[in-house]
Amino acid sequence: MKGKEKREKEMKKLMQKEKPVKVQMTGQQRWKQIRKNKFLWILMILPVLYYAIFCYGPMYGVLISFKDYKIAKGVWGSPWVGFKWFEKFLTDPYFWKLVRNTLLLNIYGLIFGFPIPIILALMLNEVTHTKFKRVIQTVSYLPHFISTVVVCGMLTNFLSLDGLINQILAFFGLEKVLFLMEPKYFRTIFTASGIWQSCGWTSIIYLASLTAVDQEIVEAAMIDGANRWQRICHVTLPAIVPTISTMLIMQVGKLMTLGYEKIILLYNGSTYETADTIATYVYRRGILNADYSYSTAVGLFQSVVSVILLVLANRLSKKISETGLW
Amino acid sequence: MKRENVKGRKPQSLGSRIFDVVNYLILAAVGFIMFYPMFYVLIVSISSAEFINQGAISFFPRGINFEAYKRVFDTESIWTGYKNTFLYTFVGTAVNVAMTAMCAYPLSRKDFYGKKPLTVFITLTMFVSGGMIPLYLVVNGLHIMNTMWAVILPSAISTYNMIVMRTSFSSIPDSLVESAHLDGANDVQIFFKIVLPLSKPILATMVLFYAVSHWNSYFPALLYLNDQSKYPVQVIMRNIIIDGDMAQAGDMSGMLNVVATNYKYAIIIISVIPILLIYPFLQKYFTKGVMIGAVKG
Amino acid sequence: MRKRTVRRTAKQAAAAILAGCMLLGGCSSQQSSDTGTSAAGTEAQGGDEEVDKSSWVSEEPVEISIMMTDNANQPLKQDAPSHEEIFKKTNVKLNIQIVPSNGYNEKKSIVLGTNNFPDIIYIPNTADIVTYGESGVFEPLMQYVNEETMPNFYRFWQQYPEMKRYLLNDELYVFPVVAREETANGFGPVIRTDLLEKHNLPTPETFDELLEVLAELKEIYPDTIPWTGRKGTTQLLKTTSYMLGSGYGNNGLYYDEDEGKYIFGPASENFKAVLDYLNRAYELGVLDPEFATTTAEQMDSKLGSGKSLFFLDNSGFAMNYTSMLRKVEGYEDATYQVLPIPENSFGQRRAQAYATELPGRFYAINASSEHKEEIIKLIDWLYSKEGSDITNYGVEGYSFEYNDQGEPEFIKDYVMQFKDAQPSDYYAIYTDLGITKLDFCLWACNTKTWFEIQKLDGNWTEESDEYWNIIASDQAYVQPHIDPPLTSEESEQVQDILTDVNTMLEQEYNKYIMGEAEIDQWDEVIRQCEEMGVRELEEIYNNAEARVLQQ
Repeated sequence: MKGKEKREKEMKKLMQKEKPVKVQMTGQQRWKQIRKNKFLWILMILPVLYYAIFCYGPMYGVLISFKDYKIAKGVWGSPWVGFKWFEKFLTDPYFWKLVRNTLLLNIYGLIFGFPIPIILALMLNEVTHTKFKRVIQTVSYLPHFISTVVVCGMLTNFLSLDGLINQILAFFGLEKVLFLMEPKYFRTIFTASGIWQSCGWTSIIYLASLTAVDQEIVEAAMIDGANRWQRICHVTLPAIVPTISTMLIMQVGKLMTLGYEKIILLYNGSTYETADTIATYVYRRGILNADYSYSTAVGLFQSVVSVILLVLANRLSKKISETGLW
Repeated sequence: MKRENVKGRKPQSLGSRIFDVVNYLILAAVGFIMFYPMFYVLIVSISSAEFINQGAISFFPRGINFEAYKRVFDTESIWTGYKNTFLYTFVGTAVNVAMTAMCAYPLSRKDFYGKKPLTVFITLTMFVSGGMIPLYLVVNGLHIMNTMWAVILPSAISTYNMIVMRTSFSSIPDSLVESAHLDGANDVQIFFKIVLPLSKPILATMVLFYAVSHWNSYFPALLYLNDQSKYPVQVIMRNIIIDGDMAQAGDMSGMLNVVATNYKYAIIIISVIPILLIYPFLQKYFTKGVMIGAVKG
Repeated sequence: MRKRTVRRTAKQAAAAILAGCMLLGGCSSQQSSDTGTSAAGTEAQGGDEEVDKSSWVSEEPVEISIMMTDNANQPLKQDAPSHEEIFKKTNVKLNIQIVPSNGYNEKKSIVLGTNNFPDIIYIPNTADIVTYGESGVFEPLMQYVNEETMPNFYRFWQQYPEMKRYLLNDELYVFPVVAREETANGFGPVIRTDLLEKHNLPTPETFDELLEVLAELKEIYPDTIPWTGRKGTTQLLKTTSYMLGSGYGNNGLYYDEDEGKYIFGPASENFKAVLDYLNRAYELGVLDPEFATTTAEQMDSKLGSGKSLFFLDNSGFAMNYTSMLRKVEGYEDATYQVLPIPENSFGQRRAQAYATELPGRFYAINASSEHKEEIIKLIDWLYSKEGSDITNYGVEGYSFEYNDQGEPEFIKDYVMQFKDAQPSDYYAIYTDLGITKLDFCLWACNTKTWFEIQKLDGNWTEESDEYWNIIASDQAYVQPHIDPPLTSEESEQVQDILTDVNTMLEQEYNKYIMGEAEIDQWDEVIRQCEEMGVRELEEIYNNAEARVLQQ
């Protein structure tokens, strides 16, 4: 047991980052610091240029959320309207429902969808039979390659009255269910199929970071008599904590955003109660006429919420696991 | 470098064996669930229309024929599309991985001055964007419209991937960098001689992620390319797959939707196979102990 | 035993795929080089003959770029024979930028918004005329609309006064495509007529009788789901409402020909008849219990396997489903056929047809193009008989010949090559030649050439004849009403109202159809609609309509 504690300490030390001591620097010192890292700065030149040109360059486009954007007049020429679009969105009778549904679908995805790729990666990591491992690994990311349209087509078939699921229900003498018509099933269907689509793919990241686990520590743990479960919990898992927390922070930052494509293929009037989200609502508005100002305003609203969530998640993560995005 | 870590296998305890059995069983079940849909797409693509319409296909193809594939292969635009996709994927992935590594490495160094503001500067772009029109004007202003670069450059770095890579870089022990510094190596040498060789798994992951996203990408091509001869295969494929399904149902053109399901599915299979084939090549980098082995060596 | 055979077939299949890949790969590359030489051949031929310059729009060859969309049924080709022929006749080389349909609207709005578009751009709807017309990116066209500059277009301009609806503040910004001898079809009821005969059921004269007939069929074939649909509740309402005495248009608002005004269908008294009818169909087990979630694929599957017997949608699908179903064992004599429109509960027989005169396709010209003069001449030529013949029949001597009356006729040998082509004989020919409505064509055929091709290659059936006769002799079909142009303030208001109202309504429809709510409660829904501004919505459209009529 003593050995184990020691290893844990070692692991912790490995992961713990020395907190830089904050000292006010003079300009000269700053310059010295930069010169010390000049090669790193040289490496950064192209990436910084990229972000400046392709990400910050077009950023003025968010201005149109404060304007009545007329495509012909351009971003600069369109008249200012202040917070008109924000007001329109925030006072929309459906606003709270849309926010609630967006958040809930994302939170479900987070609670159930986030741990599964990690578990999958850990399970694969325990497989010693190389061929089996390779086959399962390859197969697990196949769903990522089937376009959403086709996936949703299959889902509707599986969930239809004659579909696989209802056939199974009938086999057990249960009543058939119109799954896609019931608001209460929508979140389950959406989340489960989302996990199915992406868990294999996401697990690749964890598999890659699992390769960094020091095999000597694992073997030492084995010698000490730690069983499989203990080894996973105390050696393997802690080693990928930085990756896990990074991924988690980014996920939390995305709680307010959710694409519309899959939802519009699965929902219908009967399930709006649980299925209608910000993106689908904006999409339906735009069917008639592309509504740039409005959709940019909604996008900006989502961005602001995202950034707030991100900062909070980052702070929390730093407190708990001592890793953060910055 | 060791490829296998099982040589020192010890007689296993009962618990461990139960663990193994359960683990294998669950993974096999998961594997089946993951495999089935693609398998379904495959068998439908070689079945005949009558059986597809009756919904009679679940585990075996029926009325096997390759008409759908013949049609796909007869479509000239798919071949030029393939050629373009290969080019964009290859060049694009090279640019992506290089740029991402160049961005991720400095940000992973704790002693990098300016790390925090730069990270914030970059992370913000994940959530705030100026929209399509200003970006289009930027691409237009750079005079790269209707060239390969218009497809590649605007997405040269995926911030998400960059952060994943940075996290992986920062797990490289500081002691390695410090001792290299003491040996007189500069940061560029450290980057190329120590960090990159140690980061093969994450590099493989990045190659895979970027290559697949290039392979599946269609919207930038649609937006920035004008000549059909430059379109990647996804643009052509989506046109066929989506038209039947997503087109506004109220379409008043009176046109009949005659794109057959097996044709659609054949296109999916054809467009997916090449990218699926790269995974086995990258898989060898996902082996335990690669990194530590390298450190010791 | 069985397992082994399966495995073997799987292996064989894999081998066959591989072999197929190689073989076909070889073929296709050969084929592509073939077309290359044939195209070159035509050009060389042109050089030998005396060049006819009468319709040239310019002495120097000009290249004109066009942004267009294509569709999976008819992919466009840059170097199609018809495009080459246009070059020969007009000295204009078309440079077509083909954008797939599912991304066309986005690309269009960006290239127009940044004023970065080719000489000519395809505009798929009238709303764009308002959005971009005022912005100055399009060339104003009224200056060319006269006998002298554009004799051919001017003829249509006078023939179809409806075109004035495309005017924005008395100015024209787009050239509308004009249909050439288009045969009408539209949303209509299609039923398995072979079953009606077999069981001595009468052809329904009213919608109530239709329901009775379907209920009887359900009794005879309890395993069937008699009536299925294409895409959820809104599609069901779009296709049925007008026939049943109300209307839905594309988003609730429609022009009622009998009333002579715009009405928001779901907020009208008559709409209850629609919901009531669908509810009765549902209760009788006639309407698909999954009506709200059906997909096109499921519709194909149900109708193509005999599980469903009736649908009410684009009645042209009847022919597809007939041929699909006949391939299934035991259904060799099955026939889907359209019914003459039955009478609804208000004593009306009415149905919506697809446009037969102005199909709602437009082309706008870039105001800053360098070749405006040539473009105008080219477009006028495309409205001429010669231009239309080439853009609808291809190349004289290659794909068509003129008969004694001077009318173009397809050459049988050419057509026969495509007899079994996919997705259909006529679409394959349209693609091969680069012709008709979906290509760059301003006086455009669609059904005319389709019929002629099928009559030549033998794909025309008795049922097709019967189908088109039933539609042609049915007085119930009305042409779609061209919406009046709205001002940008009006369209913003319309958008606000429609999004909210429809979000509310779409949650209500299913309850009434499935009988979870009593039809009398619909009055409350109407009241809610009114609160959300549907009457203002109707007023906006009726005012706009009045403005058009004043002109």
